[in-house]
Amino acid sequence: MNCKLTTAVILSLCCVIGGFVPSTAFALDDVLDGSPVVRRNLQYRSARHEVTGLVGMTLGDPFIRNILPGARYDYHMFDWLSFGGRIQGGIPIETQTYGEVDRKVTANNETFAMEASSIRLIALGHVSVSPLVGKMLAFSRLPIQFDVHFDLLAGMVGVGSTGDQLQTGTGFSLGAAGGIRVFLSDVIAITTDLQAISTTRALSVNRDSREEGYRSRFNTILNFGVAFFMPPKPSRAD
Amino acid sequence: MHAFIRHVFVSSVLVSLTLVCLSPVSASAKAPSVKETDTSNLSPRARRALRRRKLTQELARKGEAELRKSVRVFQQRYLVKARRAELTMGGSVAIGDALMDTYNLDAGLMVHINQSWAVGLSGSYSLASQGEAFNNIQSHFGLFPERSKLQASGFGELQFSPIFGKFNSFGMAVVQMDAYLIAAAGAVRTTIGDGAMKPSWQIGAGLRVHTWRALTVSLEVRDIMFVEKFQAGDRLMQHWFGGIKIGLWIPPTFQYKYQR
Repeated sequence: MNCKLTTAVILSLCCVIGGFVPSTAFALDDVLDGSPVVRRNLQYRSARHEVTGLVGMTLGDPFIRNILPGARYDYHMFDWLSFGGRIQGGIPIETQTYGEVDRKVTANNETFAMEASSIRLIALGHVSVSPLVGKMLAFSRLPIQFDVHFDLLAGMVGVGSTGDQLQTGTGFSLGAAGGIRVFLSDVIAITTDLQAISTTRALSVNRDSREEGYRSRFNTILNFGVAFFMPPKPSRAD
Repeated sequence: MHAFIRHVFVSSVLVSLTLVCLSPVSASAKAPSVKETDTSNLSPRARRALRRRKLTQELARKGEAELRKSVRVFQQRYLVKARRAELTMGGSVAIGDALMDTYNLDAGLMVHINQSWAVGLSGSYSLASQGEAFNNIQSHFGLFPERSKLQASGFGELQFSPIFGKFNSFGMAVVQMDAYLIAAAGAVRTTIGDGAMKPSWQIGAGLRVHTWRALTVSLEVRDIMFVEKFQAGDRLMQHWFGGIKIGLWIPPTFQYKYQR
């Protein structure tokens, strides 16, 4: 009887403990339970100054392609938030369509002179948010850090012209931009972004050499740049 | 035998009750509360024991924190591409075309040979219309340029994926992705040439976000090139498209060769 009782107790212990232990062991082993998804990551932006040399060009301009060299500055308050500004000068380049219109309209009307507007100056302040931060491995050996950022822009845009019939001047501008920043080292990053800004300009004159068409429009600009970060060492998160 | 079963039942109940009673004790042992107790009434021996217990608890807390920091997690690839097919569907829009507004409906089937290389077929149906600048040229200058609107295209395609990565947003979750290069050759049909297909080729790049193991979302930029025969002469046409695609993976599940 005693033997049976002992066997029963041992069997019961095995069953009950067998039921309890796995969950308890799991709870004890899961040392990362409640830990942040990412920790001790390098904060490439936090509390750093960023100076970017950039070149942009307008997309979808039928008559004048604007090449826009310039510079951008950011102070990154946090790893995800920065404030700054950009200034870009415009170099107008006539497109093939501009030449064709000039040639064909002049063939019918000798007094016609083709004229189109261009962007001469961009001076915008911005607030920038970097909601996506990540890292990549290129060719299985080259580690690359990157982020995706979005900017809200406000400032002034100067408009020029290839002739003297179109209105020119400087006006208020609003815009938005989004881009990628790829870090080549702790200090240097290459950047590309697509920005859309409002301007007040008619695209061109008409066949009577007079301004015609909408004056308010959005201009899409593709920028490429090289950014330098200071101080040279990024901090590390907890 | 009945007695044996009764013993098993009773013992089980007793052991269960004991463990249930013990579990709060073990929980309190895991997360000991450091209560400030009045030590003036304690004997020197009891005070030393109390101090030792506090030190032990503090060391345990620090040890666990250090352990958490020292653990490094190596993630498995979320998506295995090798020997799987990807059925893609999506849309794209022409970028930088000053005269025409073109939208594409895209579909394709890619077979991923391994994690880096894929071959397949892709095709697009195009919806093109004259843009504001084109209408302005007609109305402002009285010129009527010859129109070349994209109608459809089909390509044999090669993809090479040299970059693999992951990203997170405000530390909420880690999402994996890969970037790939595209080279393709095929044919396009435009409004010029009585519906004849014209040889065409394209290059591009894409970013595939591994959202689920059977479904991915890709962002792509492609440059479709072909020679168009205008009345004024032949001209190389370049159509840049930016688009988004959903990829359905076949088979939808997979097994790792090496289990974690």
